[in-house]
Order: sequence, then C-alpha cells, then structure tokens
Amino acid sequence: MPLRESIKVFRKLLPYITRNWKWLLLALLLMLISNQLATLIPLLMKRVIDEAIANKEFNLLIILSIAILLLTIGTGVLSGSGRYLGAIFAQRVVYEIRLRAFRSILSKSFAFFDKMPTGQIVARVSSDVDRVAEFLTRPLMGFTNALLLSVLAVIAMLSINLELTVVTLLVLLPIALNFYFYGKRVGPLYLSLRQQYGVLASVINNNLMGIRTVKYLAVEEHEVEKFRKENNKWLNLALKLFKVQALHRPMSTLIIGLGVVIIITIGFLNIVEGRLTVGGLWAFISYMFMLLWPMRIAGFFITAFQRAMSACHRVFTVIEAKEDVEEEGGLIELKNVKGEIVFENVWFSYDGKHYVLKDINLRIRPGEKVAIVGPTGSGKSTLIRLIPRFYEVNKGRILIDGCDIRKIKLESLRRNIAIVPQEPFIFATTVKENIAVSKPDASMDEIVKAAKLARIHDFIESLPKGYNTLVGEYGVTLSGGQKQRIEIARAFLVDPPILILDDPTSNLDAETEREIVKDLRELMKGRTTIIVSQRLPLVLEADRIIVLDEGRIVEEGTHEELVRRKGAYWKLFKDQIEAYESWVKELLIVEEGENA
Amino acid sequence: MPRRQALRPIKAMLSFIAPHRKWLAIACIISIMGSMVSLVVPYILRSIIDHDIARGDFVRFLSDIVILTSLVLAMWILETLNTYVLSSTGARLVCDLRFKLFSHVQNLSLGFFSRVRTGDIMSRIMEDTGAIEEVFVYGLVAIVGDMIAFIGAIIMMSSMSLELTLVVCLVIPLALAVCLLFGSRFLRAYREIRKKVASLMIKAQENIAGIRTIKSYARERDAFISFDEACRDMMKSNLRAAWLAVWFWPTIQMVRGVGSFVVLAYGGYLIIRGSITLGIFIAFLSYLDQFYRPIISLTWLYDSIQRAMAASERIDELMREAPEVKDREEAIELKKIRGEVVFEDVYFEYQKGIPVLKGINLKIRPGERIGIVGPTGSGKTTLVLLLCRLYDVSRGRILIDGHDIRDIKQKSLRSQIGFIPQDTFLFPGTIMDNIRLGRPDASDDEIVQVCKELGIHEFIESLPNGYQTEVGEKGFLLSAGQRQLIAVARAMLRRPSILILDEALSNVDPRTELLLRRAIERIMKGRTTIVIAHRLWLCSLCDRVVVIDKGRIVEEGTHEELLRRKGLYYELYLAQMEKLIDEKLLRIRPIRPS
Repeated sequence: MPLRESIKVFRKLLPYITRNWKWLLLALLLMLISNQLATLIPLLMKRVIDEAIANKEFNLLIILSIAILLLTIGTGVLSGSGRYLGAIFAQRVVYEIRLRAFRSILSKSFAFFDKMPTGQIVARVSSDVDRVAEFLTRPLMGFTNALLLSVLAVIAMLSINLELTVVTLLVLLPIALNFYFYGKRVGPLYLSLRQQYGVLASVINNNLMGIRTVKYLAVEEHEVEKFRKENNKWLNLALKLFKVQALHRPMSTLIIGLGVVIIITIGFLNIVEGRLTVGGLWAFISYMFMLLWPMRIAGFFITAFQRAMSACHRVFTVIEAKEDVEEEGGLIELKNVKGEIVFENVWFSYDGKHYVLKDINLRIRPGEKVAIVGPTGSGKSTLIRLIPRFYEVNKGRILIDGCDIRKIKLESLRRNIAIVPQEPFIFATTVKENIAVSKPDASMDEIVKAAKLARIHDFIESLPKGYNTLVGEYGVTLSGGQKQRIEIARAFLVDPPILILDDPTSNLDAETEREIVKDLRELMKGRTTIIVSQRLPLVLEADRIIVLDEGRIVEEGTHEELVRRKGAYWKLFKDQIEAYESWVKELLIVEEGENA
Repeated sequence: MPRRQALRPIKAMLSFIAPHRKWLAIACIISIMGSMVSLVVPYILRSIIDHDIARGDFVRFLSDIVILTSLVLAMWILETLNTYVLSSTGARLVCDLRFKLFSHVQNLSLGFFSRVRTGDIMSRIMEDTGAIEEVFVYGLVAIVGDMIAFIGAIIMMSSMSLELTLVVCLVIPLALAVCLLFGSRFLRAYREIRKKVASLMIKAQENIAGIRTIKSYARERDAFISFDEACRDMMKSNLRAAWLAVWFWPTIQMVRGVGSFVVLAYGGYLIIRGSITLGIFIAFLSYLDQFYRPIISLTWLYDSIQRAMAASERIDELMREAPEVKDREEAIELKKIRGEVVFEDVYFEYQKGIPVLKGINLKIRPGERIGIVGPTGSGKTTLVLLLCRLYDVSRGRILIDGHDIRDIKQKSLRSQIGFIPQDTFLFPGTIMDNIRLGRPDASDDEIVQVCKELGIHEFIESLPNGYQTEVGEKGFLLSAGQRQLIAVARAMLRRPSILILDEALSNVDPRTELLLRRAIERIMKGRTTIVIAHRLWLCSLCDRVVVIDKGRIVEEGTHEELLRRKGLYYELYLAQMEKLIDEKLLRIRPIRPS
C-alpha cells in the first residue's frame, strides 16, 4: 500500500486515538520525563570523569554516583509506568475498534456474507485488529518516544560541542536510510513467504482430509513429493529473505562503528587542542548509542506503520461496507400475526444491474403452504430471503398482514419467522444451547418439548451427558439428519406463525429425507409456509406450487395440474418423477415375490 | 515430573538439531568470535585515553584508530555471516523437520488418523516446528553469544583490575534473581494472553460462521454481548502482562544502576587512590553493558524456551507413532493376479474387546461378483478395508490368489485393487489431476481413454473447462454423484484385478445416476467385484449376495433366492422400500402428462 493511502487510513484511526488522548498524553509525558532523566546521565558521567576524578574529590564522586543510581532507577520507574499507560491506551483503542467492527458485522445484510468468506471476516476482527494493537503499543509509542529522546540528546550534545554534534548526526543519517531501504525490500519478500506458508498448510490440510483416499490409492509417495516441492519453495523464499536481512541489518554495526572511530579521531584533535575533555568525549559516545536506537526504530517504524495500516484498512472496509439494512423511523411491533404474505411488484438485484427477481406478485394466505421451484439461478432462494429482510427489495414491497416489512422492527419481524436452512449450522456448545439459539431464555421444559416434536429427544437422551453434552465432545458428532432435526427443534421452540424451508433436504440421503419430510410436516401444521426445494418429496407437501424462471413467475398450480400441463414444472421434475416410478415398480416386484 | 521424562523433550530437541550441528557449530563459532572482537574494543579505548590522549601521542593514536577500524570491519563481516548462517540454518532445520514429519505421517495407518484430529497433526507439523526454529536460531545462539561476551568481559576486566571486577560481580546474583523472578511470571502472562486470543478467535469464528442462524432468529444482541466479554477478557490479560512490565523495567534499571554506581563510586575511589587509570575506568563502564544483555534475553526467552520444549515433546510424540500396518521384510510384489479372494476365519476389532467381525469365512472366485448387504454398523465397510489392508486382521487371514495379504507389499497389494468409496474425496486441482491420482504416472491420453471407455468423457467435456476444470476445495463444485464418477475413473486407470464398490448413500440426481450405473457396469466387466450395496439394482447384478449382521455372515445366495427365503435380506429390502415410498409419493403414480 502506498504511503499516502496509509496516511489516509491513519486519519480514520485518529478518532479512536483522540477519544483516548488522556492515556496517550500521560504515557508520553512519563516517557518524556524519563528520557530527560536519561540524557542527564552522560552529563553527570562527564562531571565524574572531568571534575570528581580529575580533582580527586571523593565526596563529589559519591554524590554524583548516587545521583546516577537514582536517575537510572527513576528512568526505569517512569518508563515502566509509561509503558503501562501506553498499553492501556492501545488496549482501549483496540477494544473500541474491535467492538465497532463486530457490531457492524452483525448489522450487515446477507449480501455482505455472500461476498466475504467466514475466515476473512474472522481474521479482520481478530488478527488484523491485533496487528493494530501491536503497532499502537510498540512502534507508535516507541517511535514517539525515540523522537523525543533524540531531540533531547541532540540538545545535550550541542551543549558540549557543536562540531561533534554535526558529525554525529551526519554519521547517523545513513543508518536511517539503510533501515528504510531494508524495510522496502523486505516487505514484499515477507508477504510471499507468508503466502507460501499458507500454501504449505493447505497441502497438509488437504492431504489429511483425504488421507483415506491417499491410503487406498497408495499414493503416499506422490503426496510426499508434492509436499517436498512446496516445502522447498518455502525454503528458497526464506533464504532469499535472509540474504537481504543479512546484507542490511549488520550495516548499522558498521556505520556506528565507523562513526565512533570518526568521533574519537575528531575528539582526539579537540582534546589535544583543549576544546574538549575526556569526559566530554565519553558523553558523546554515549549519546551516539542513545541515538542509534531512534534511528533503528525510524526505519522499522515506516514498515510497521505500512503493515499496520494495511491491516487497519481491512478492518475499516468491514466497518464501512455499505451492506446494512437500515431501520426506518416509526417502527412497528408485530403482534398476533396471522401470516399473510404479499409480494407487490417486487424487483430485486444484488449488484444494481442484473435483476434476479422481476416484478413478482404473489399472495400467500394465512396458513397456506406454497412451494417455490425453479432451475438453479431462477431467484427462488433470493425470494424467500427478502421476507426476513436479509436483503432489501429494490422496487415494490412485501407486506405481512398488510404491513410493509420495512416499517416493522427488524427484531420483531424476524422473531415471527423461522427458517430451516439448506445447511444446518451447529454451534460448538451443548446440545441444549444449540436448540435454545432461537430463544436463549427458553426453559428446559420448552427445550425438551421442542426436541420431542423434532423427534431428536431420544437421541439426545442417549448421549453421555444428555442435553448438556458438548457437540464434538466424546467424539459426539451429528449426522446430517440430526443436525436438521436440531434446526427443526429451534423452529418449534420459537413457534412462529411463518415458516420458511430453504431446501432443507437436498443434502440428505433418500431415507433420511423421507424421515425429515415427516418431521417438517408436523412443523408446518397451522403455519404459513414457504418451501424452496429441488426435491420432489418436499414439494409434494405444498398446497400450491409456484415455478420461477429467470426471476419471473412462469407457472402456478397444484402438482397434478402442473404435471398435466407438461410445462416448466414437468421439465424440472421429470427425472425425479420417473425415478420414483421405477422404485414403485421395484416395490411391485417385491410384492410379486411375496405372492409367489 | 520424574527426571527421565523431564529430559525427554531436551533429548528430542537435540535429536532434531543433530543433522544441522555442523552449521549450528559454525554459527556458534562466528558468534563467539564476534563477541571476542567486541570485547577488544573497550581495551583499545582504554589505550587511546590512557596513553594516546594523555601523552598526545599522535602516531600511536593513528595505529590505534586503524586497529579500531579493522575491528569494526571484522565485527560487521562476522555479524553479516552470523545473521545469514543462523537464519538459513534455522530455515533448513524447520524445512527438514517438517518434511520428516509429513513423510512419517504418510506412513501411519488409518487407525492413527481416526484417533487423532487433523488440526492437531497440522499444528504439530507447521507451528511446533516453527517454535523450535525460533528458540534455536534466535534464542540459544544469542544466549551463547551473550554468555561468551559476559564471560569475556569478566576476563578482560579482571586483567585490568581484579579488585574492581570482584566488586562489579556482586551484581550477578542480583541479575539472576531478576531473571528468575520475572521469567516465570512473564511466561504465565503470555500463556494467558495466547489462551484469550484463541478463545476470542473461536468466538468470532462461531458467530460469523453461524451468522445466518443468529440473524434468522434476531439474536445479534446475545452474540454481541458474548463477543464483548471475550474482548474484555483479552484486554484484561494484556493489561496484566503490561503491569508486569511496570515492575520489570525499574528492576532491570535498578540492577543496571547498581552496576554503574559500583563502578563509578568504587572505580572513582580507586583512581583517586591511584590504583587504576582513567582508561580502565572507562573500559569498565563500557563492559558493564555486557552484564545485562544475558539477563534481558534470558527473561524474554524463558517463554519461547518453554514453548519449544512443549513443541518438541509434541513432535517427538508424533515421531514415535509407529504404523500399525507394516510391510514384512520378506514381503513380495504381486504380478498379474487372477483375483481369487479368501477370507479365512477373520476376526477384527477397532477397540480391544469389541469385535466388529466375528469369524468371517468367504471364498470369492476370480471374476465373481459379490454383493454385501447388512444393516448399518454390521461391519460391511470394515470387511473391504481389511481386504485393502488399511487395517490388519485381529485373527484369521485374508488370501489373494493364495497369498496371505500380510506377505504382500502394501503398495503392490493396493495397486491391484480398485476401491470406489462411499464418499469420494477430491483434492483441489483439476479433474485431470484428480483422476490421475489413480496412477500418478498415467499420461493425459490414457486418462481420456479410460473416461471414454467408461462413457463419462462427454460429461467431463461438458464441464466449463473440460478435463482442466478446477474441482474447488474438497471438490465442492461437483455433486456427490459426479465425484463418484471421478472415483470410478481413478479405479479404472489402475486396471485393477479386484474391484471394491461402496455405494454412495446420498441423493444422486437421475442423470448422474444413469452415467454412474453405466460406468460401474463397464468397470465390473471381467473383474472380481465386491459391492457394498444399498440400492437393489446393484444386487441383481451380482452373482451372489452375502448378508452380514453383527459381524457374522447370516445369509448367502442370489438376489432371487434370498428374496424367496424371506430372511434378513427380505426384511431389509422391504424396510428400505417402505422408507423410500410413502403414501404421498404414491400419488404421482396415476399422473402422466397427457
């Protein structure tokens, strides 16, 4: 990222920094005093050498030594506390950013999550924010501190000898330059090394996930070879990086060493001419080492700043992404919902250009069961996701019991709707809490009742700790059907007037599918239900079937009507209908076998 | 902890670095040389101050300056070498160790992989090796250097003034005390932070992966509160570590201060008394810094050393894991075989005392097709895993063409068997690459040829990029049925004598099912075939059906015979049919488009 961009990002970070300015100021103040004390030490040393020792004043020697001891301890106390205050500052800033990011993530519409993979989002609220914290604690505080220290050191040096001060500064300049170029060269190398590390990790991960395949195909050697190749690539990159490191880093030893030689030479001439004392020379060498550190930091600071700002940029893109579903004023709470859903001239587009839904008009009566079918990409999943306002319609409106959903409080809207998704999601917590996700304050009785209705109670009871078993513990894993039953139990628990089935059986085997359809039949009783499915058994549960194609409603009717029409519906389900018919034939063979 | 056990991680660690000892030794030598050179510097300084400046000796000063300059150059060269040798040795060490671990893991048997989680193996190969690199390369050698510098400083100082050196050495116990006092505390504080970081990650991961569920039920507030808690916890543990630093720095400074105080006060006194020169005094002041460096680095390294110990223990544990299935020394290579398979009184248990197979006796003639049927958990899949020798039988034996499979090299055995598993795993890469896995040395033409023979060539060509279509992570872009087509092609590529087919459970769309059916019928031709069947059309293709229940063979015969017998097979069949077709589906029967 170019420096200008980094500064732009930093400006966005500023409000968080200024909000905690007191801590920062206190921290810097303490460090300033500590630095001031530190720059006094070489001056005292000079007096020790030039006055106390030269004049053999023992009392002065003791007094100065004690003063130096106290000053040293004092700088420790002050810089230690300064660091602590700095840590408080950084932690508070980061805490605020993290929460802000998470809050905005929670408020995003589904469009956001469709675009960005989970791992990416997680990295942004965890490791990216951590990187900002690191920057605020070490490089930022360190750099400010170093800047102050160098100003103080230069002032102190000027008070001893002008010529030597100028020489010292000239010597230190190349060090800063060296670190700057080092940072510039090493940055991209670091990046590619880290990428290669990721490649290596995914090779191992894939190998372990597919280890059974590797074993029965006996291609272990092939896999080892694949790993060796990527591993060597990593090594070569690492060696390249280390070469750059080895060339640049020790350079400061060289420059500082030569600097000392130059200072001593000039110092020697000055001492011979009586313009400088031995103590003064010693003080200069001490200051020089004091300045080395800020130089080193300055070089690193720029790379650290760039790296932190690119992390920060990633965090802010999450915060600023405009995917929020806005809540309007005059929010209505839904009460005693009957469950009538009306789509009025609804248009929807994900990108603002291509419409996925075009002028949808649909009235679903309270308690009616409607199936929405259509080829992949016809817009059927989009249609149902508009009802809980996971996305916002572009044109037209959706009404529940006659009320525009945009006027309803989001929470109130969503708590009247339950969704059984295509891919059930199970949290890594207890079975009980997994069911209670839909209603965290539910009583145990309610949860058990919901589990019984979803016909998963007996299974849960058979687990080592019953409802309190952690999913994943004792190797407890749930099959696809069991996960889907947990989702069904969640829906039973909230007991909503409106139910949405988002293709919940497509990932199940045929037998489990039939079982789950039976459970869903119970769940649908007395609720307005919208079913999206590619599977015939579930579609057959509906009172009415809507066929979507390219965002428009093309057919509508009962299964029998649509089959007779031999239109889009028949084309969609012909294969499945025939497959079921062949099963029926097989059943007849069994019946014949029985009769024989 | 008993002593031997405590020593084990150290021993393990030493064995990991043994192959790199040459370079590490070189690094140590360079580091020692560097320390020695830097020790001479204050000595020269002393000569400049005491001799050259005091007497205004310009010639001697010039020669001193030349020496000083060459010392600086030597330091620079040594540091450059040291930096490179160290970090490249570290990279080689970690690269080597990773490779050894990975190859070792490849040789372990399936039993191991069902026992140990993927993430665990992963972190041992990737992270633990890194921890060892860190401590060896950046830690131990730095400490060696610091220690040498420390000892060297003492020697140089004693040669200048024994008295002052003894007084300065009083600082050492103080420094050690600081190291002990803070080392373990920092260790604990950082461990705490790492734990909190991990739990924050998990929280974020959970909430974001489950965001659709959370939003569906409008439970954002609960998610927010629990995340806030994790953030606060993390902040607290960070501040606790920072609080330690508040105490650490003044203490370090105090040790430092005491050191300078001693040199200043006592050294000054000695100069006034005339026992040492001003040059010695200044040399002492510059040696003092060598005293604190080991303390500071030891305190910071405490944490990484502990981590490296834990890491090497974990790596060692993985290295000690021995494969359960091993090639015997006198194991043979199989030539072309006829494909006769015999199970002789085979018993098998995954866990001691819980037999899964009990006395299986089964003889399969070359070219015969056997269907294996049984309820879930009856041991069907285990039976075929044993035939591939992915596990070893607990009792009895399995013979192929009269050879006990334990006398055959694993690779040779498996290359004779085509196994089409229930769920096909695809590696990220193209379809071509994935099929080639059946025989890594097969050419593109051979693969296309095999697909044509199986009748799936047109299907693959119809994909966006044909054979070069990327299958995506875990093969997500293909359906389960399509993945199984790839598995059939993989098996066919091996031209196996024995074919094992574990039929898929999940829904396969009718078009793919047709392709699959045809491909399977073709690959079965002329091969000894064992089919674990869930659908009945597969059983009707078999010469013989074996019914397994609770680890025993309970029925045997043709599909028709078994149906007529009305035993377990008939029951299973009926139950399956009933589950597949309920009253609602029967509605579709009379309706046909007019």
